[in-house]
Amino acid sequence: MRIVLLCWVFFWMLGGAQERPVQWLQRAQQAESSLVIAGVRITEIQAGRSVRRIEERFWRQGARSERIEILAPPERRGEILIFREGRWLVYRPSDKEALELSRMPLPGNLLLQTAIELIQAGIVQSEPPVETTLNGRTCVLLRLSLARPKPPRGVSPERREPFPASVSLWIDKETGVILRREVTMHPNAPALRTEITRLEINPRITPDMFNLPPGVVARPLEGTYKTVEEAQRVVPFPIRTPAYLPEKATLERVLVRWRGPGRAPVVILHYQTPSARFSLFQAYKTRDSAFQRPSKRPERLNVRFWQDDDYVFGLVGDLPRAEIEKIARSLSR
Amino acid sequence: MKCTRYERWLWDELEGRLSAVQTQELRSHLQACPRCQRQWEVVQATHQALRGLPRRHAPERIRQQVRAQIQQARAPKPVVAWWKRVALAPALGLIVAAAWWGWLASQSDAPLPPEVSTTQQHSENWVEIHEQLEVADWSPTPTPNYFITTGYTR
Repeated sequence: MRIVLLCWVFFWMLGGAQERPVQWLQRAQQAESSLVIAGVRITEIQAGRSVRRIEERFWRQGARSERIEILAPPERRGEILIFREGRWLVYRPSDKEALELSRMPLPGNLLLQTAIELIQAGIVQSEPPVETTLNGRTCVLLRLSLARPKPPRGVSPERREPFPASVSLWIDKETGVILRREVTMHPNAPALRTEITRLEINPRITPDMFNLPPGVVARPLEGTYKTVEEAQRVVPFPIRTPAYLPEKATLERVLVRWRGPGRAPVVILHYQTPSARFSLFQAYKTRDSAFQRPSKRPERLNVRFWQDDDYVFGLVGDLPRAEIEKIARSLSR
Repeated sequence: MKCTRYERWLWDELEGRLSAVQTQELRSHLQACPRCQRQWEVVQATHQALRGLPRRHAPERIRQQVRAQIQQARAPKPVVAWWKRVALAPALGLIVAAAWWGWLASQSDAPLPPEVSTTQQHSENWVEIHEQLEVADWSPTPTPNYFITTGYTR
């Protein structure tokens, strides 16, 4: 009887150690949705040849509310982001107004849900989980990447999500919290890395941490818009839109980047298709006259720059070259 | 504020036109918003009712009546004054020219605008911004999104 019991315990433990990737993702999703945590995390964004670093202190109540205080870079130190009731607001303690981020990032638990669905549909695959340690905590490393060479039967190739080249997750074995996450758009070159360098479980949290201070009024953050019409209200030249777009392309957001006093802004229309992303840049009456070829660009991206009347256009994306040219043609007057 | 957007997605969801991410976003919103949940139930019920309707063919007699009424409804051609006929010709010419121009623009063998390279720094920035927008959506925090928008990565 004892032998049978021991065998059962042995196999049960063996099974526990070999949980499937989807089960780990579900654990992480549950932790993301329900745990009360705080800590410090560092995000690094690859920007061309340089890396930008953001350090932030955070307090999170599951998926309900979150507070972020920026620690670095020094020029942004002290900015506070608050998530509550479905809104992200940002303010500085010295200011009497807060800015509402108009484009909501997809919450972490929904990102994980998406990953789970893509794995279950056979679009994304996971390497077997590997046990490792990070900052003294035992965790499981999951590496997710697009399944190759083609999606399984029944899944249309057009339904592929523009999933990054790979997403690696370091999931804390004890809590399910994702301690580190790396997103690469190109093999072996992390484009975004977020790591929790200090983690507190069930920290002391007060409700007013997730409220704006009294007297602070919220208004929309300028610079990012959902539609061209919204952006056109602040842009001093007619924004041009392509007459041709690839099938199922959707406009994800419009960014307006001001380039200094007296200079017209650059408008960026960022599109997504079921399998690619591309951005259309347009600058008006630009004074940049010395034209040179860009010296370096990622091979996976197709790039085209051209001038038409008073506009300088740029198209950047992982669309086929022919599609890029078709869009470019459709913008010419 | 967001409900209008999700209402527009309800029929798309039924017809399978939403991406997995959008579907998730919609489902999550439906769980949190009783009003949209009711709307979703109404849309589903309507869709089901429409699909459940039997397909019937109109009797031949009614078809003939409808055809006859369409024939009668076609108004007789009005008598056009001579000066209107004269004005019609250039107007038609303009329309044909505009249509031809539009057709030319839409053809794949239309001339491609000559490619230029912007200043090196400028173009590299544009490539960088695109790359950052690509990854921003996969960030678990809103900070990269916010910083990209407000020019930290410029």
